[in-house]
Amino acid sequence: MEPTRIIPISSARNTAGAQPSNIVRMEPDPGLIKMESFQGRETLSGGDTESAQRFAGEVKYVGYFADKLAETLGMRRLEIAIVEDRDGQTAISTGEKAGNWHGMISSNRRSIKQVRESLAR
Amino acid sequence: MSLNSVITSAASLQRLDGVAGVMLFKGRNTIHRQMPFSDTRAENLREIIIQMLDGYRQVRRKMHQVFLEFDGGSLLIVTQDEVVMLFFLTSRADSDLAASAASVMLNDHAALLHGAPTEQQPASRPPADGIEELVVTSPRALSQLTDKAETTVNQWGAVRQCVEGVLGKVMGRAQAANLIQRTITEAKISDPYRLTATAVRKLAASVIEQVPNTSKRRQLLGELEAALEHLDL
Repeated sequence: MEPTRIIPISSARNTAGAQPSNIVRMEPDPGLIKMESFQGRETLSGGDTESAQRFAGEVKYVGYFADKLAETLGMRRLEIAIVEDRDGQTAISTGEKAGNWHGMISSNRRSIKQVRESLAR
Repeated sequence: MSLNSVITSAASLQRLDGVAGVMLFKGRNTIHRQMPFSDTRAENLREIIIQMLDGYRQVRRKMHQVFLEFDGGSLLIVTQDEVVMLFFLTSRADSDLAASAASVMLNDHAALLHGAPTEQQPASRPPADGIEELVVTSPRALSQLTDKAETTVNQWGAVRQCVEGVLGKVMGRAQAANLIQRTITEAKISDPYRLTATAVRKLAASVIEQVPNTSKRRQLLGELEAALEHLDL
Protein backbone atom coordinates (compact mmCIF):
# COMPACT_ATOMS: atom_id res chain seq x y z
CA MET A 1 0.00 0.00 0.00
CA GLU A 2 1.32 3.43 -0.94
CA PRO A 3 1.91 5.95 1.89
CA THR A 4 -0.57 8.82 2.13
CA ARG A 5 0.67 12.08 0.61
CA ILE A 6 -0.65 15.49 1.61
CA ILE A 7 -0.29 18.08 -1.13
CA PRO A 8 -1.59 21.68 -1.50
CA ILE A 9 -5.01 21.93 -3.16
CA SER A 10 -3.62 24.58 -5.54
CA SER A 11 -1.06 22.24 -7.11
CA ALA A 12 -1.78 20.90 -10.60
CA ARG A 13 -3.52 17.56 -10.94
CA ASN A 14 -1.91 15.03 -13.26
CA THR A 15 -5.12 13.74 -14.75
CA ALA A 16 -8.51 15.32 -14.73
CA GLY A 17 -10.98 13.25 -12.81
CA ALA A 18 -9.56 10.32 -10.90
CA GLN A 19 -7.88 11.11 -7.60
CA PRO A 20 -5.58 8.40 -6.21
CA SER A 21 -6.72 7.27 -2.77
CA ASN A 22 -3.34 7.93 -1.17
CA ILE A 23 -3.44 11.67 -1.92
CA VAL A 24 -5.24 14.06 0.45
CA ARG A 25 -5.62 17.57 -0.90
CA MET A 26 -5.44 20.24 1.81
CA GLU A 27 -6.55 23.88 1.69
CA PRO A 28 -3.50 26.15 2.07
CA ASP A 29 -3.20 28.10 5.33
CA PRO A 30 -4.88 31.44 4.48
CA GLY A 31 -2.63 33.38 6.86
CA LEU A 32 0.62 32.01 5.49
CA ILE A 33 2.81 34.57 3.75
CA LYS A 34 5.77 33.58 1.59
CA MET A 35 8.68 35.71 0.50
CA GLU A 36 10.88 34.20 -2.17
CA SER A 37 14.00 35.49 -3.81
CA PHE A 38 14.96 34.55 -7.36
CA GLN A 39 17.76 36.20 -9.37
CA GLY A 40 17.69 39.25 -7.10
CA ARG A 41 13.94 39.69 -7.39
CA GLU A 42 11.66 39.24 -4.42
CA THR A 43 8.15 37.93 -4.69
CA LEU A 44 5.51 37.97 -2.00
CA SER A 45 2.53 35.65 -1.86
CA GLY A 46 -0.28 34.92 0.59
CA GLY A 47 -1.95 37.14 3.16
CA ASP A 48 -3.54 40.48 2.36
CA THR A 49 -1.45 43.27 0.82
CA GLU A 50 -0.93 45.11 4.11
CA SER A 51 0.14 41.97 6.03
CA ALA A 52 2.44 40.87 3.21
CA GLN A 53 4.18 44.28 3.16
CA ARG A 54 4.53 44.27 6.94
CA PHE A 55 5.90 40.73 6.80
CA ALA A 56 8.51 41.70 4.18
CA GLY A 57 9.57 44.70 6.26
CA GLU A 58 9.88 42.56 9.38
CA VAL A 59 11.91 39.90 7.54
CA LYS A 60 14.40 42.52 6.35
CA TYR A 61 14.68 44.28 9.70
CA VAL A 62 15.00 41.11 11.79
CA GLY A 63 17.25 39.52 9.16
CA TYR A 64 19.68 42.46 9.28
CA PHE A 65 20.09 42.26 13.06
CA ALA A 66 20.01 38.45 13.11
CA ASP A 67 23.02 38.39 10.77
CA LYS A 68 24.93 40.63 13.19
CA LEU A 69 23.85 38.56 16.21
CA ALA A 70 24.74 35.27 14.49
CA GLU A 71 28.20 36.62 13.71
CA THR A 72 28.70 37.65 17.34
CA LEU A 73 27.48 34.28 18.61
CA GLY A 74 29.52 32.33 16.06
CA MET A 75 26.44 30.80 14.46
CA ARG A 76 25.54 30.37 10.81
CA ARG A 77 21.98 31.47 10.28
CA LEU A 78 18.62 32.42 11.71
CA GLU A 79 16.00 29.69 11.49
CA ILE A 80 12.95 31.09 13.31
CA ALA A 81 12.03 34.56 14.55
CA ILE A 82 8.95 35.46 16.60
CA VAL A 83 8.43 39.16 17.24
CA GLU A 84 5.73 40.24 19.67
CA ASP A 85 4.53 43.77 20.21
CA ARG A 86 1.45 45.37 21.76
CA ASP A 87 -0.58 44.71 18.60
CA GLY A 88 0.28 41.08 17.96
CA GLN A 89 2.85 38.67 16.71
CA THR A 90 4.94 38.14 13.59
CA ALA A 91 6.38 34.68 12.99
CA ILE A 92 9.13 34.09 10.44
CA SER A 93 10.79 30.89 9.36
CA THR A 94 13.57 30.38 6.82
CA GLY A 95 12.94 28.26 3.76
CA GLU A 96 15.25 25.56 2.48
CA LYS A 97 16.80 28.01 0.03
CA ALA A 98 18.66 31.10 1.27
CA GLY A 99 16.52 34.21 0.82
CA ASN A 100 13.23 32.34 1.08
CA TRP A 101 11.03 32.97 4.10
CA HIS A 102 7.54 32.09 5.20
CA GLY A 103 5.45 32.99 8.21
CA MET A 104 2.43 34.88 9.41
CA ILE A 105 1.21 38.05 11.06
CA SER A 106 -1.41 37.65 13.74
CA SER A 107 -3.26 39.97 16.08
CA ASN A 108 -3.61 37.06 18.47
CA ARG A 109 -0.63 36.02 20.50
CA ARG A 110 0.31 32.36 20.71
CA SER A 111 3.03 30.65 22.71
CA ILE A 112 6.45 30.14 21.13
CA LYS A 113 5.77 26.40 21.13
CA GLN A 114 2.48 26.81 19.25
CA VAL A 115 4.06 29.15 16.68
CA ARG A 116 6.99 26.79 16.08
CA GLU A 117 4.57 23.93 15.52
CA SER A 118 2.49 25.88 13.02
CA LEU A 119 5.61 27.07 11.14
CA ALA A 120 6.86 23.51 10.87
CA ARG A 121 3.61 22.34 9.24
CA MET B 1 19.39 52.33 45.66
CA SER B 2 20.42 48.67 45.69
CA LEU B 3 19.47 46.45 42.78
CA ASN B 4 20.50 43.31 44.67
CA SER B 5 16.96 41.89 44.80
CA VAL B 6 16.64 42.29 41.00
CA ILE B 7 20.04 40.68 40.48
CA THR B 8 19.02 37.74 42.69
CA SER B 9 15.86 37.20 40.63
CA ALA B 10 17.66 37.60 37.28
CA ALA B 11 20.42 35.22 38.33
CA SER B 12 17.92 32.65 39.56
CA LEU B 13 16.45 32.45 36.04
CA GLN B 14 19.70 30.85 34.95
CA ARG B 15 18.65 27.78 36.94
CA LEU B 16 15.82 27.07 34.51
CA ASP B 17 16.48 24.00 32.40
CA GLY B 18 18.26 24.74 29.12
CA VAL B 19 19.23 28.33 30.00
CA ALA B 20 22.89 28.79 29.02
CA GLY B 21 23.13 32.48 29.87
CA VAL B 22 21.21 35.53 31.06
CA MET B 23 21.78 39.24 30.88
CA LEU B 24 19.67 42.03 32.37
CA PHE B 25 20.29 45.56 31.16
CA LYS B 26 18.72 48.97 30.88
CA GLY B 27 20.21 50.95 28.02
CA ARG B 28 23.97 50.76 28.47
CA ASN B 29 23.72 49.86 32.12
CA THR B 30 24.32 46.13 32.51
CA ILE B 31 22.59 45.16 35.75
CA HIS B 32 23.43 41.45 35.65
CA ARG B 33 25.44 39.40 33.18
CA GLN B 34 26.14 35.68 33.23
CA MET B 35 26.93 34.57 29.71
CA PRO B 36 28.91 31.53 28.56
CA PHE B 37 31.37 33.70 26.63
CA SER B 38 33.63 36.73 27.11
CA ASP B 39 32.38 40.05 28.50
CA THR B 40 33.36 41.78 25.24
CA ARG B 41 31.21 39.41 23.21
CA ALA B 42 28.33 39.86 25.66
CA GLU B 43 28.65 43.66 25.40
CA ASN B 44 28.62 43.41 21.57
CA LEU B 45 25.46 41.35 21.81
CA ARG B 46 23.88 43.97 24.08
CA GLU B 47 24.82 46.79 21.67
CA ILE B 48 23.17 45.02 18.70
CA ILE B 49 20.01 44.33 20.71
CA ILE B 50 19.86 47.98 21.88
CA GLN B 51 20.10 49.12 18.22
CA MET B 52 17.36 46.69 17.19
CA LEU B 53 14.99 47.77 19.98
CA ASP B 54 15.78 51.46 19.35
CA GLY B 55 14.63 50.99 15.76
CA TYR B 56 11.31 49.59 16.93
CA ARG B 57 10.98 52.44 19.45
CA GLN B 58 11.54 55.01 16.69
CA VAL B 59 8.53 53.70 14.78
CA ARG B 60 6.54 53.62 18.05
CA ARG B 61 6.23 49.86 18.25
CA LYS B 62 5.93 48.79 21.85
CA MET B 63 7.84 45.52 21.90
CA HIS B 64 7.18 42.75 24.41
CA GLN B 65 9.30 39.88 23.25
CA VAL B 66 11.63 38.78 20.44
CA PHE B 67 12.61 35.14 19.99
CA LEU B 68 15.42 34.34 17.55
CA GLU B 69 16.32 30.73 16.93
CA PHE B 70 19.66 30.16 15.24
CA ASP B 71 21.23 26.90 14.09
CA GLY B 72 23.19 26.55 17.36
CA GLY B 73 20.96 28.12 20.03
CA SER B 74 18.31 30.75 20.64
CA LEU B 75 18.12 34.27 21.96
CA LEU B 76 15.02 35.34 23.85
CA ILE B 77 14.59 39.05 24.50
CA VAL B 78 11.87 40.06 26.97
CA THR B 79 11.51 43.80 27.30
CA GLN B 80 9.53 46.23 29.39
CA ASP B 81 10.07 49.95 28.82
CA GLU B 82 13.84 50.29 28.49
CA VAL B 83 14.72 47.22 30.53
CA VAL B 84 15.75 44.07 28.67
CA MET B 85 16.04 40.54 30.00
CA LEU B 86 18.06 38.48 27.53
CA PHE B 87 18.30 34.69 27.57
CA PHE B 88 20.71 32.51 25.65
CA LEU B 89 18.90 29.17 25.36
CA THR B 90 19.80 25.68 24.28
CA SER B 91 17.32 23.38 22.53
CA ARG B 92 16.37 21.84 25.91
CA ALA B 93 14.90 25.09 27.22
CA ASP B 94 11.20 25.79 27.62
CA SER B 95 11.20 29.20 25.92
CA ASP B 96 7.64 30.00 26.99
CA LEU B 97 8.40 29.35 30.65
CA ALA B 98 11.56 31.48 30.44
CA ALA B 99 9.62 34.31 28.75
CA SER B 100 6.86 34.19 31.29
CA ALA B 101 9.22 34.04 34.28
CA ALA B 102 11.17 37.02 32.89
CA SER B 103 7.93 38.92 32.43
CA VAL B 104 6.97 38.22 36.05
CA MET B 105 10.42 39.29 37.22
CA LEU B 106 10.29 42.57 35.26
CA ASN B 107 6.81 43.30 36.62
CA ASP B 108 7.74 42.46 40.21
CA HIS B 109 10.74 44.81 40.12
CA ALA B 110 9.23 47.44 37.79
CA ALA B 111 9.48 50.29 40.31
CA LEU B 112 13.10 49.55 41.18
CA LEU B 113 14.09 49.11 37.52
CA HIS B 114 12.28 52.33 36.59
CA GLY B 115 14.68 54.25 38.84
CA ALA B 116 17.79 52.50 37.51
CA PRO B 117 20.07 54.62 35.29
CA THR B 118 20.42 53.87 31.57
CA GLU B 119 24.08 54.84 31.31
CA GLN B 120 26.98 52.54 31.96
CA GLN B 121 27.86 52.54 35.67
CA PRO B 122 31.50 52.84 36.75
CA ALA B 123 32.90 49.72 38.33
CA SER B 124 32.07 49.91 42.03
CA ARG B 125 34.97 50.58 44.33
CA PRO B 126 35.68 47.93 46.95
CA PRO B 127 34.18 48.83 50.35
CA ALA B 128 36.46 50.42 52.93
CA ASP B 129 36.26 47.40 55.22
CA GLY B 130 37.36 45.17 52.34
CA ILE B 131 34.29 42.92 52.67
CA GLU B 132 32.18 42.67 49.52
CA GLU B 133 28.47 41.97 49.64
CA LEU B 134 27.67 38.63 48.08
CA VAL B 135 24.43 38.38 46.11
CA VAL B 136 23.17 34.85 46.58
CA THR B 137 20.72 33.18 44.22
CA SER B 138 18.44 30.55 45.63
CA PRO B 139 16.08 27.90 44.21
CA ARG B 140 13.36 29.64 46.24
CA ALA B 141 13.71 32.85 44.19
CA LEU B 142 13.27 30.82 41.01
CA SER B 143 10.28 28.88 42.30
CA GLN B 144 8.62 32.18 43.31
CA LEU B 145 8.97 33.41 39.72
CA THR B 146 7.97 30.21 37.97
CA ASP B 147 4.94 29.69 40.23
CA LYS B 148 3.59 33.02 39.01
CA ALA B 149 4.68 32.31 35.44
CA GLU B 150 1.86 29.92 34.60
CA THR B 151 -0.15 32.22 32.40
CA THR B 152 1.92 32.64 29.26
CA VAL B 153 -0.50 33.74 26.58
CA ASN B 154 -4.24 34.18 26.35
CA GLN B 155 -6.91 35.05 23.82
CA TRP B 156 -6.83 38.81 24.39
CA GLY B 157 -6.35 39.51 20.64
CA ALA B 158 -9.56 37.66 19.76
CA VAL B 159 -11.42 39.03 22.81
CA ARG B 160 -10.41 42.57 21.87
CA GLN B 161 -11.84 42.04 18.38
CA CYS B 162 -15.11 40.83 19.96
CA VAL B 163 -15.24 43.90 22.23
CA GLU B 164 -14.54 46.21 19.27
CA GLY B 165 -17.24 44.46 17.25
CA VAL B 166 -19.81 44.83 20.03
CA LEU B 167 -18.87 48.46 20.73
CA GLY B 168 -18.99 49.18 16.98
CA LYS B 169 -22.80 49.09 17.24
CA VAL B 170 -22.87 52.20 19.43
CA MET B 171 -19.66 54.10 18.58
CA GLY B 172 -16.95 54.54 15.96
CA ARG B 173 -13.92 52.28 15.63
CA ALA B 174 -11.41 54.86 16.89
CA GLN B 175 -13.64 55.73 19.85
CA ALA B 176 -13.97 52.05 20.72
CA ALA B 177 -10.19 51.55 20.50
CA ASN B 178 -9.63 54.57 22.75
CA LEU B 179 -12.17 53.31 25.28
CA ILE B 180 -10.44 49.89 25.43
CA GLN B 181 -7.02 51.48 25.85
CA ARG B 182 -8.30 53.85 28.54
CA THR B 183 -9.86 50.96 30.48
CA ILE B 184 -6.58 49.00 30.33
CA THR B 185 -4.61 52.03 31.55
CA GLU B 186 -7.06 52.79 34.36
CA ALA B 187 -6.97 49.17 35.50
CA LYS B 188 -3.15 49.44 35.58
CA ILE B 189 -2.77 46.37 33.34
CA SER B 190 0.68 46.41 31.75
CA ASP B 191 0.12 43.45 29.42
CA PRO B 192 -3.43 42.17 28.80
CA TYR B 193 -2.01 39.11 27.02
CA ARG B 194 -0.64 37.84 30.32
CA LEU B 195 -3.98 37.90 32.16
CA THR B 196 -5.82 34.76 33.18
CA ALA B 197 -8.97 33.79 31.24
CA THR B 198 -11.16 35.09 34.09
CA ALA B 199 -9.32 38.42 34.18
CA VAL B 200 -9.61 38.79 30.38
CA ARG B 201 -13.36 38.21 30.64
CA LYS B 202 -13.59 40.78 33.46
CA LEU B 203 -11.57 43.31 31.44
CA ALA B 204 -13.82 42.84 28.39
CA ALA B 205 -16.95 43.34 30.54
CA SER B 206 -15.47 46.41 32.27
CA VAL B 207 -15.00 48.07 28.84
CA ILE B 208 -18.65 47.51 27.91
CA GLU B 209 -19.79 48.68 31.35
CA GLN B 210 -18.58 52.16 30.43
CA VAL B 211 -21.38 52.55 27.88
CA PRO B 212 -23.64 55.14 29.60
CA ASN B 213 -27.06 54.03 28.31
CA THR B 214 -28.35 51.28 30.67
CA SER B 215 -30.47 49.31 28.18
CA LYS B 216 -27.82 49.44 25.45
CA ARG B 217 -25.18 48.45 27.98
CA ARG B 218 -27.23 45.42 29.06
CA GLN B 219 -27.80 44.41 25.46
CA LEU B 220 -24.10 44.76 24.59
CA LEU B 221 -23.05 42.76 27.66
CA GLY B 222 -25.37 39.96 26.48
CA GLU B 223 -23.79 40.05 23.03
CA LEU B 224 -20.30 40.04 24.51
CA GLU B 225 -21.21 37.05 26.67
CA ALA B 226 -22.37 35.13 23.59
CA ALA B 227 -19.21 36.07 21.66
CA LEU B 228 -16.99 34.93 24.52
CA GLU B 229 -18.88 31.64 24.77
CA HIS B 230 -18.07 31.15 21.10
CA LEU B 231 -14.37 31.63 21.91
CA ASP B 232 -14.61 29.00 24.66
CA LEU B 233 -13.44 31.57 27.17
